[in-house]
Amino acid sequence: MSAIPKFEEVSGGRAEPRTAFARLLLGTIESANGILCDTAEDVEAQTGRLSALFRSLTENTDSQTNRLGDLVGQIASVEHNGETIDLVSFPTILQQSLTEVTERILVLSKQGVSLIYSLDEIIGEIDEVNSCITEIEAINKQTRLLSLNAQIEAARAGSAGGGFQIVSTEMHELSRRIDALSERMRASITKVTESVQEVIGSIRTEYQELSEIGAMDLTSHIDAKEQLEVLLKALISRNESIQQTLGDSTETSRMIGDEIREVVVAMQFQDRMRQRSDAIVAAFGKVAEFMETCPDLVADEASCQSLTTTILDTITLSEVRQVFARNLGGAEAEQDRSSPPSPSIELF
Amino acid sequence: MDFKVVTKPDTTSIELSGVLTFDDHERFKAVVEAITVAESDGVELDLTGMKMIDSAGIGMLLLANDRAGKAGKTLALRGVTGHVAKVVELSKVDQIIKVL
Repeated sequence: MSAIPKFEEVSGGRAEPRTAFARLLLGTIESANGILCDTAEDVEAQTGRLSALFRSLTENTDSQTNRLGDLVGQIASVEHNGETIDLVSFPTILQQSLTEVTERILVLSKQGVSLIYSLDEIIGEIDEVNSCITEIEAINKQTRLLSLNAQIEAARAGSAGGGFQIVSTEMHELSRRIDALSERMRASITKVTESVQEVIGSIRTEYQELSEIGAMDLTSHIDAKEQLEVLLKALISRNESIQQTLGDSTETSRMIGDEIREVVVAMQFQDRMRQRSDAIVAAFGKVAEFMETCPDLVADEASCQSLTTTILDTITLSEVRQVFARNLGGAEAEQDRSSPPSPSIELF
Repeated sequence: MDFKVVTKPDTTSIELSGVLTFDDHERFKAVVEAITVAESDGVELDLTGMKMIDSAGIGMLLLANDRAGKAGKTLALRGVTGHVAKVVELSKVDQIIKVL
């Protein structure tokens, strides 16, 4: 907007006023003009400064909100191997691990008991085999006695018992081999039994060791699970609280930003005030110029009417022009104006 | 661990009491045997009197459930409370054996 020149600038040097009242009027108009101009410039400068400060305040508020959001995001998660892990998911991960460990313990427990039951059945079968061997040994013992008796009877029979002697000797040899076989079987079964008992003993020892570290009674697992559930609830609650606070903060920042923007818009009405003051200064300038150049015509009706028209033409802000037209008696002429005021002046 | 078999018209209930740990595996054989020879198809293990159970005990329950299945029986747990209930929940046994 082009600045309205002060009176001194348009008068181009002044002639000495003819009357004291004219001097008084000129001085008053010149003073009012100067003060109006200075005030308008001050208001414009201060308003511009305030607008800049408010804009900066808005930007800082937005930045602060973004930083707060980033901070909350950083608190709620951690980076691990390039992967972002939500802290709230930690207890869940630990619970899953605990569940997997528990499941494995149960599988081992079930398999261990099942294995012991199977080994017990094997030992039962081995006992049965042992009984059979004992039976075989008893039968073999009787067979051996029979073969000895047969040999004795064959010797009594002399040459007639020669063939029987050979058969009884073979029977004795067979009995001896059965004895040897029974011995080997018993030795093998003893080894198998010892091995099975050793396995059962190992399993029992493993169970005892598991019991010592608390893995068997699962009490520590139950405690850990309950603590993890408490931790998970606390983390979820805290996360919701942070999200709520962040949401409130964001909403507050948005409201502050909106209000500051409204303040900035409201301060643009300063421009209208500047236009009004410029219009007044311009009108004063015309009056002063008239009095300076045509002091003899101040009582001339036609000249004053011409000055009124000049003043109204000078004022482009419609609301100011209407006020001047109403007070200077140019309302009728003002109503005849059909062209709208210049947009460059009206709009701000 | 002690147990008592109670035969009902439509089911067989085996009441367990005391604690069920690895040391009871020999005695629990009789429980498994009672399950497999039960006259009814449905067998309930009543754990109301059970004060404590460890992972070996849970393993024995799973083993009993397997043996019951092989014998054409359906095993269920009843009276699961206190420490036993916590262990059952932790071990997710309730997802394998029906809890009444």
